[in-house]
Amino acid sequence: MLAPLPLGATVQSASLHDTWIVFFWVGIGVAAVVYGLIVWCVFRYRKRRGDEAFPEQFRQNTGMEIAYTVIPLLIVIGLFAITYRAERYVETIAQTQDVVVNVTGFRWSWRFEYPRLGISVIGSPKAPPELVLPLGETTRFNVHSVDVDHAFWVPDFLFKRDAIPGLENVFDWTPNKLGTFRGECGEFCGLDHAVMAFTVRVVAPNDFERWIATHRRVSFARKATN
Amino acid sequence: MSAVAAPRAESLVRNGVLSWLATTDHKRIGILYMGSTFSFFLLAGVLALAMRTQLAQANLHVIGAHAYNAVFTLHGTAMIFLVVAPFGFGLANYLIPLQIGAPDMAFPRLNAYSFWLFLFGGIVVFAGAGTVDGAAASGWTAYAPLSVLKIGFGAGQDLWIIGVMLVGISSILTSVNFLTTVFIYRAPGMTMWRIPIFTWEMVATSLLILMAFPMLTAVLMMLLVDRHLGGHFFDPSLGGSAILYQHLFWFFGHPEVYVMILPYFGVVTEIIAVFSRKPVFGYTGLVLSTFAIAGLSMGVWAHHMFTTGAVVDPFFAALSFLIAVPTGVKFFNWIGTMWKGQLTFPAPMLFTLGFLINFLIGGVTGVMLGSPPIDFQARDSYFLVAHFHYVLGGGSLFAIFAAIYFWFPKMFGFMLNDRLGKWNFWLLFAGFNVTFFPMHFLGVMGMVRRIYTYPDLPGWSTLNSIATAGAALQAVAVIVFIANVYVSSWKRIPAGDNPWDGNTLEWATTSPPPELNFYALPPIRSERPTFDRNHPELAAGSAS
Amino acid sequence: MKIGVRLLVSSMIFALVIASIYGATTHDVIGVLFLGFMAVALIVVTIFIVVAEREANLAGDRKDLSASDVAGEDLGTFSLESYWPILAAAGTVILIFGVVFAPGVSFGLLLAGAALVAWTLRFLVREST
Repeated sequence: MLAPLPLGATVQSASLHDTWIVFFWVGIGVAAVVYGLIVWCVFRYRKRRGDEAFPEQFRQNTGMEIAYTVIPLLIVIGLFAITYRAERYVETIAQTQDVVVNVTGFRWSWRFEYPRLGISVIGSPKAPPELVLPLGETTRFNVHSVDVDHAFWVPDFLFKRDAIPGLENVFDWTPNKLGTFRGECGEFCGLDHAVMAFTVRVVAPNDFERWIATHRRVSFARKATN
Repeated sequence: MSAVAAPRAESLVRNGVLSWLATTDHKRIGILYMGSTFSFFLLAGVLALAMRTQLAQANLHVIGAHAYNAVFTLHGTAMIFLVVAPFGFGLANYLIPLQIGAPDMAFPRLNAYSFWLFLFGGIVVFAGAGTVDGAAASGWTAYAPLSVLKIGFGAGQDLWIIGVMLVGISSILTSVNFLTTVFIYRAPGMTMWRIPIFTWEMVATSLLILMAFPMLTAVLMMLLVDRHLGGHFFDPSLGGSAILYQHLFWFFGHPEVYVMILPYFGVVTEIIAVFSRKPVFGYTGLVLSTFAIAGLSMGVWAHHMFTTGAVVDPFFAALSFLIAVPTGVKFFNWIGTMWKGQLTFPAPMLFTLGFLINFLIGGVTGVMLGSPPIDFQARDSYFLVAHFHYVLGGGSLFAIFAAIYFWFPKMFGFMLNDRLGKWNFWLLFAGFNVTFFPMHFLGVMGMVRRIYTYPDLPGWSTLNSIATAGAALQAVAVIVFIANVYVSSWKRIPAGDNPWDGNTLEWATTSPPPELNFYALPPIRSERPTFDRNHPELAAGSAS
Repeated sequence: MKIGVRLLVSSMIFALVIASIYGATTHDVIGVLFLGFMAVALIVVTIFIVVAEREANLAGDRKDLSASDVAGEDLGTFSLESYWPILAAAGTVILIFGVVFAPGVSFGLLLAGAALVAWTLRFLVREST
């Protein structure tokens, strides 16, 4: 059942993936106990032919009731501890970043701006934009929207963050797998919400330098003709 | 047997359509609610079938984008505001006075007013479909700034806002009625610790409505101000705040989902006790856990906002996890009721078992979603869609069917066919799980919700087709149910006062009950007065 | 009805506690206002219920009473039918439409107002039932 869950492609997503695994197995455990008890009751305590007298009419068992209040409480406290640690780790913003990307969501595509590199990539539903990131380096993301709520989601990174007008959301990603990953808008934003996709391409650092060189020329050229 | 205190009745017209339009009898109003909500259910179900048809394969164009957006908006709005919650109110309207030994609700005419306001509100919501731009299309959550836009969100959106506001006001007035009735009109001997668990759940539900629904009215008003009066509540470029909408909406929205489940916890409790031939196990625990759930539910609203980056996630995660504890207590109390009992499985009990199985899955995925690291992936994905359908569909909807099969004989005086009921159950159970279980996988793989189509990625079309097939099965199940009602009304097998050997006071009167409910009331010395009267050798000795 | 009072007092204390914890841990104005108002509302209701409960003497709260002990007690008049609720509902709908879309306000106000007056007339004028 865990097969469809992406393994994660960033350093941060390892922690997210681990959280999924823990919660999944705790969920399986709880379900096994509860379903087991229900199945037991359904088969063991059926009314049989000849059962005319009522069964023992007990109404409570204080010891049991306390037990099944306290034990789940301990379990959720443990789950909270795991949750808290994972979230703090994932949301840590590093002191310095290698790359900075300003992500702007708009109806109905994305703009990726690399302010330190002078590069800007804009997409449209017919031509989804491509976000290029260097492997092993930390990229700072600043996400916001210029119209309605959107969300910047890359399922393979197990992470999304909303793009809300008037708010700037900041997080770090450190990709640790090469490849091309699909991205999409994760918050309903109207007519073409379904086709507000983008791609993320993680490349080796020297490929990234080459990409910068090409795109910087292209970007400046576009600016000059505007 | 002793005579009741004597309320006086006055009556204008007794039969025919006009008498239904003018009725203030809680039983008739309850039936009006349940009948209307069932009609809205059929409408919302057709909308769901339309969605599933469009999503059966990648890149289909059965319905266009704007139409699809209106379809899912109406589907969600109808199921939440016009089906699950008001069916509970209708059932409570019917049962509360009977269960506490009262002749009617405290405010019968206010009761009728609430119903008509609800029905007119629902019609207004759907009337949007007849406008130029079509019905509302911003989702049942109507997030601003999207829902403030005029292009693509025309008069239909305004009709949606007005209709939902009317339904909200109706619910507030209904809760006032419920609380007053339960506090003031209990029969002699019916102390608060002896009222049925269903009535307790309705007390908690009513308190939640009183605290949460005014917020809905306020936020809807604010939307109207932004849309029509030049307001900028939600426009950050002019001093407003987009995130404010989410806070306001979810402060209402989260208690709302508990309004949609608490009555059904009550239904399940009653049915399990009757068909286990045992009293409710852990009555006090059930009451306390209900109020723990209700109280905590007021504090978890921003777990719908974990990905906004604008809320302190750990506070809301902690409280969300805590809610799992009293919910678990309920599950174990229900198991305790079945434990060492003598279980039988007519249709109401089957639907109740279905509730237990489905709701557990929804509960587990709910705890998962309450963890921000998991929510970062799962929020607004089909994993979330699966979660809320498991709790509301697999949970509340199954309990709705259980309640219908259980109390139909009391309301109409004849039984529903049990064999058709079993078919109804198995078809619905199979269809429901076939539709919604695959959605967990689609969600984690990256399928976002509220999209009219999706790309042809590996496995996506297959899983979606499976979900669509399940929807067809569910449609058949509903048809079987409707057939059951027809067949049974033709056969008319009389039910008698107490076909199930029920415990609570409604089973001590005729089926259907007379005007003003009781010719005579048995003495009330425990939480199951009818059982005590029918089985005096087993009556509780020193129940409070 | 002591349990009702106890539940409200507990809810009130819970609301105050949760509002304080929330304010202290998050410093978020919006949430503190929501939870704070909720606590204030519960305080108001609790005070009312505590006072009312002291004076209340409901038959339903007496564990040992039966219906025969109070036979003949007047529970008041329960109408079985009335046209005013559906008319008032229609009037309310028209009124709200008017508020949003302008025309029809006066008509809705008229209908809803008339229905409300007729509805409550029995309490304003002594009439023989």
